[in-house]
Amino acid sequence: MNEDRFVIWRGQIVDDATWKDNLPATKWKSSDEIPGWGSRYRVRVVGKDTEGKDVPDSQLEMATIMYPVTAGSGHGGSYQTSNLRKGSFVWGFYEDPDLKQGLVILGCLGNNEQIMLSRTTSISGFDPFSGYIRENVPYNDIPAEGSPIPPNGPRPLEGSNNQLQTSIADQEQLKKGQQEIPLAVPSSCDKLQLGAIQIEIQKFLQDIQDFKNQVNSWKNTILRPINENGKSYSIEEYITYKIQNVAEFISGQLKNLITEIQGYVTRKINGAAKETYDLLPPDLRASAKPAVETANDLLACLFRKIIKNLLGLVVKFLMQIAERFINAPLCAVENIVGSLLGKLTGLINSGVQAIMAPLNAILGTVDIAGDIIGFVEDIISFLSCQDQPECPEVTGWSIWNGPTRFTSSSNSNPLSIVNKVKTYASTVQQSVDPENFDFDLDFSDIFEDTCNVGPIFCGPPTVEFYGGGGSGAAGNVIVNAVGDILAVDLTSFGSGYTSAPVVRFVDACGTGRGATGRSIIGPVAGIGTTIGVVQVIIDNNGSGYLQTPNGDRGGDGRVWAYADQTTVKRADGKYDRPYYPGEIINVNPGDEVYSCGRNSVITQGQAYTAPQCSQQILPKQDKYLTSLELDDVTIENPGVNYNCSIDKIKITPDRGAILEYECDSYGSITKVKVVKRGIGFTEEPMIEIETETGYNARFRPVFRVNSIGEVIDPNQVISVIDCVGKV
Amino acid sequence: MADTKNYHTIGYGTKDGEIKFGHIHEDGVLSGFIARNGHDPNHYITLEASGEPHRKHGTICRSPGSFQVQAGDNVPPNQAGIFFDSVSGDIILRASKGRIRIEAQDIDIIATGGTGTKGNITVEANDTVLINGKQSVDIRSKISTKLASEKTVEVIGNGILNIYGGLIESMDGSTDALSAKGSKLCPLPTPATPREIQQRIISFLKTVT
Repeated sequence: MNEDRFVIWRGQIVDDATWKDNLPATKWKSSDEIPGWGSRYRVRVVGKDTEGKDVPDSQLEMATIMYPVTAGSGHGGSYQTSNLRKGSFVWGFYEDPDLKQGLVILGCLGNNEQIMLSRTTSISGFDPFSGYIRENVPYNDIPAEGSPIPPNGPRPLEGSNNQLQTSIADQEQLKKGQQEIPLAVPSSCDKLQLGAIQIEIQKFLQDIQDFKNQVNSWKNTILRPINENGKSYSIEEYITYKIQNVAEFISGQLKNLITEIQGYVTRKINGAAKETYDLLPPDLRASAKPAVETANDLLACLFRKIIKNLLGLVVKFLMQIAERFINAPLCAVENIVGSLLGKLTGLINSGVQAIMAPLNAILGTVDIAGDIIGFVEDIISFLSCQDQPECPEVTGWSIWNGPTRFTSSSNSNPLSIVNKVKTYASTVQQSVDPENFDFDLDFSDIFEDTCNVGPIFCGPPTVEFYGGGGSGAAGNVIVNAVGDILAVDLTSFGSGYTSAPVVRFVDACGTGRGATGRSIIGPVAGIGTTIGVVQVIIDNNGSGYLQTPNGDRGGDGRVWAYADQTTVKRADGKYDRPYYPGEIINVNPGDEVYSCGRNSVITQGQAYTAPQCSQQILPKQDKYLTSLELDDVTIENPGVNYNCSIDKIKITPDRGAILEYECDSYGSITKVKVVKRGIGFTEEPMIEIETETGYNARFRPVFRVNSIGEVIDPNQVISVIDCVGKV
Repeated sequence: MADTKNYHTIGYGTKDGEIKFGHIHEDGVLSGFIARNGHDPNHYITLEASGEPHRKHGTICRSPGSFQVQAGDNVPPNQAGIFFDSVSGDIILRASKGRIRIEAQDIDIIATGGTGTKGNITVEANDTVLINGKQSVDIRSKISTKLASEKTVEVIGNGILNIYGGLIESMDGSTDALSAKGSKLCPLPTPATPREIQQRIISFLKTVT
């Protein structure tokens, strides 16, 4: 080794097929089992080795590596491992510069994400190639964006600067992280638990749609094996598997109600028997008791049979909605539960009548069939007083979004469900044989309901207020041109609030993300002592929210069909997966085709080509103009060590606003005063204190929303879509 | 605020997994630290730095496989081997497609609510609640205890059945536990309960005296 000379070289680590056996790849117990001498890599050196591979990779010199001082050398247990891979471009020095031998790697060049890496090593020396050849690509290195059509689809970037790259791992985490989980509550708090059923049905529908859509979605194709525990399914098998899962949940919920009905019917029969017993002639009394016992046993048997068959009934029911529903709004869940409950009630009526027939011969006619529907009505009506103080408030949760559903958030209409129960109960004409109890129900008539279960247009977010003991607060969300939520224009203050209700921004298609806010309650001006929501403070503006519809359609928190996609609703009510422009679709009379904002009903069977839309026809929206005025500044962090007599508070852009602040003896900010409001904010201004000493103070602006009749300066207004009360 | 920004995200990874400081999630939440498995995107641990109240400074451990904690080998008896404390907020344990199994030498479930609507324990099953004390089952309350079923209640003392009461009333054929009606199904109907008979006699005596 010549210590007087330091000669550097640069080169590329070649295919690991020629050197990786130098490294132990399995667990080892003795150093005798290690095939080589530490982490070494075969390197093709520029100027020493040829580009044309006259010297094959397998005959190139092995290079050892120099670790940084922070890595340690292994002595005393201090170590870091090398993280070099085939294809890496490395720099180093020769231990013997005279003979150009003894390669020592000093470092590597980070790969630039713009460089297209070859997926083969049978190219010229020094050409860039991938380190993933013959290797598993981690999900966190598969970019989320890219052409859906292989082979030009997304390639792993293998960049050394990809720490903020959006990968499909990120997107999958988002999707699963935001997924709602229903939380059970005691039945005394919520007899029907419609919210929980809605969550499960929404998940079920979306899973099936994702699965069907995998033909056109490389992401689903990549993710599917792990999503379903590594099992492979056909579409039919997958639907069955998913239906089984959700059916178990729904039948569990319905079982609660069935047992309530069972209790009621048992009580009624026994009550009727008691009422009539002492009116019986003495010779019939002896036979009355065993008859009542038999009726009780048969009744128990009937309900056991119903509960046993419940899962099968719900499965059958879900099979019919699986491809007909894109979304599951609350009205659809009411319809599902109402129809299931109605048909079951009809069946129970029939069964009870059969059971009561011999008893009637002894006791006289005891008609309780009609009462059963009345009882079901009582149970369902209980929904309206479900907000009991001892009940859990949160009924839905997601690990990313936290509480997503509240007992007080159920806007279900008990009367609507009651009417459905009555309607569907009357459709069950089946007579039940008490010796057999075999039954089947027809659900083909439930799709006549008017509730929209199809896709809806993606648009601006809505705001919802939960809890706080009151109701009625509502408002429109102010979204600026770049998709940030700036404020809420309250259209109704509500009343009866005893604590600040939770604020949630709901984006039907999940395009926006991250916005959070909180409500302030107080006396509503001009309405006596009414306490309502008087202000909403935005804690996080989020990003990506739509100001107006963009043509995408979906609902339940996801985009189902992009604006340029064509969708087909078949004559039987089933939806195909959305089609990309250029795809050929076989359509038949009665099918509805939606493309480029137009809906048409097919009258003649044909092969239809999904068009490329040059212009979208978007639904008309009620809009009005607003102007934002700086109303207040909240202190997120008071910071410390500010020199209040010197440091200045600054707002950028100021739009005419002037601020002052106060601080305590530690230089922490205690108050920010809006001296002049400023008007016409269209983005969140930066509020900061220019200081040489202080640190960590953070502020947030709170805007007042002014509705204006006409445009004064188009750069100072934000157009708002009036979403209140609209679906 | 718009999109969350971090110019100083640091990462370290291989094909099998990665760790990052200052990761930005897809919903814009900043993570102080994330460790995730390259083989499954839903296998990760994050220490969150921003987001909604539950998320900010919270920890998410997400694993498609099981999440296992075993600890306490060296802990003396009567000390905590595992300690979970939700300082503010609920503890939710959920196994929607499975069973929650709690096993210990002794198990205490104590509700400590301080106000009138708190301090309750609700046990509800949509099928059967089974309580099986191999030695004894002791149910007590300060105000009232009820056992009720729409169909059948059986009280069985195979050796001895003792029923004690300061004032015992029993009746059959009752349609409502709170209303006192005489027996109707009994082969020899009694007009009323002993207490009712007593009250009627008193009432009758009052009318004649």
